[in-house]
Amino acid sequence: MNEQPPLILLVDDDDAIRAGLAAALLRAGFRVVEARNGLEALKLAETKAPDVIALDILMPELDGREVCRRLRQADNWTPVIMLTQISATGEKIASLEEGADDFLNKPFDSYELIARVRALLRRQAVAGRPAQLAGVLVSGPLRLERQTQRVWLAGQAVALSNKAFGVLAHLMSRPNVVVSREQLLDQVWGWDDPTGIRTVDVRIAEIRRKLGDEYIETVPGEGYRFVGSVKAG
Amino acid sequence: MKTARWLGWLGFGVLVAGAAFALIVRLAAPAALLQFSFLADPAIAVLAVALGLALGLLVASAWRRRQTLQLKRLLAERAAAEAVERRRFMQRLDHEIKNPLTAIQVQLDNLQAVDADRRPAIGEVRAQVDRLAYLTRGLRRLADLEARPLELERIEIGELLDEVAELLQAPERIAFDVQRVPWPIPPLEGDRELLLMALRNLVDNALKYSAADTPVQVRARDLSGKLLVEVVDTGRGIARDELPLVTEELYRGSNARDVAGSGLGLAMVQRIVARHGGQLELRSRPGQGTIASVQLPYEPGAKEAERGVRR
Repeated sequence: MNEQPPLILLVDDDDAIRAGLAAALLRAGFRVVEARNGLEALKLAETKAPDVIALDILMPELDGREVCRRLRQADNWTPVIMLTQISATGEKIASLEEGADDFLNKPFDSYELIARVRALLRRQAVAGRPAQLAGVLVSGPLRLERQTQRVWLAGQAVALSNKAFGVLAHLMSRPNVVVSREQLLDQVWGWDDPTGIRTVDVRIAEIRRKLGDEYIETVPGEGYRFVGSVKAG
Repeated sequence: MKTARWLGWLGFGVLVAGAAFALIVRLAAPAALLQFSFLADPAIAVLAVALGLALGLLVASAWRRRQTLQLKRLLAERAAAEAVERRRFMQRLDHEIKNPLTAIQVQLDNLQAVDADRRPAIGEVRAQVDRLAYLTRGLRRLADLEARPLELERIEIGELLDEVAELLQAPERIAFDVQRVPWPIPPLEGDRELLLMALRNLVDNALKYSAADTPVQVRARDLSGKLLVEVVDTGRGIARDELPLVTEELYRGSNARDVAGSGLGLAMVQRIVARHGGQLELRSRPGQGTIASVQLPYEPGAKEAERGVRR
């Protein structure tokens, strides 16, 4: 389906950032269209049909969250990666609810953005429309209920710590996709503390101790992934 | 507060003594019951003076207590207002710094990709920018720590300390000593990730600031109603006059500059412990070592609820 390289819609009102990122994305082999504000972004999302949208949150005219909300309301499920800026935690949770697929905290470097964009493109190819919004996920004997934060293995309730549950839910909603520890830390913990990276390993160890080794696979140098097929329950 | 209570007790003591004295006088001379000759009866005069004194003391102590309470409330209010103000400032600063930092980082990536000759110089600039970015993130996390709600769960301290060891990957240097007899430490209600972060920081400090061949002890004890965790090292220690300062953000001990660090670790520990209604205390002797002790109530619930209302 892709004779042409993937098209990225890059939305940021800061010229220096936008120009810099555009150059980096082009060098990485993507095609790029740029928008300066939310209204431009919505227009281009419709006319150019990008494969991924990188969306700054704080913008004049229409902010990034509103853009994302309107896209999803119009049943446009193009993967969106939010470039977040103000106090991390609350903003991220709000963005998740509005249908963003990923976040990147400023300051970040262009390699990180490129890696995330590639991951989103791969996921799109594997899973189609994102499965993150399902309330109950089932994979074989494993059942996870998002709302109540509960997990069952072969009908038996399993007590996981808060973050172990978060990690499992995050990986399980992206079956077979490799998620880096940085991403997990960022999106499950809401911190971006590079010294906290090993905290992720501790929670993965907890999941394996309680559910067995077969569900989560370590991909050396890249991160973790959930192995197996996942259905919405 | 202490003087007020002391005065109160003194007043009460005098009152009781006076009453006892009166009783004895009355019982000893029942016929004198209806004679109202104050001056003729020195016992009655003493009683009246004692009563007056007691009442006066009680009123004075109540008034003082009220004053102290008012002053305390005022100070607490001012501290809370200052904290909010500071948090706002940090957020604004963080926000204003982040965009330029991102632009610099991104443009450096581009430079590095096209200009092979200057790669070492660009690499050096990038390392410095990374440091700035790291610091900004740290400062924001500190501000965040005050505002975000705690995610409380039941924690077995032994399990948490195992995780600290797992995080630091230096099991041979850390000696754990967790109370098991005559009774084990009860489970703790707390934010697991934050407490993990705090304890990891303390143990990491102990490892960093002591010789590589010396052990670091981590002790956990049950004090009735509270958990005590002590992290003990035999390292370089902290100068006496710097002890109150090392928990301030960006402060680094004068003898700590040769070891890499952000100057944010202990500030973070301090805040995490405070959010749990606990206390961090540092005792140290330069050249001998440091004891970092953390006291945590088993259930921080009440304090957190109070904060919740204010937020």
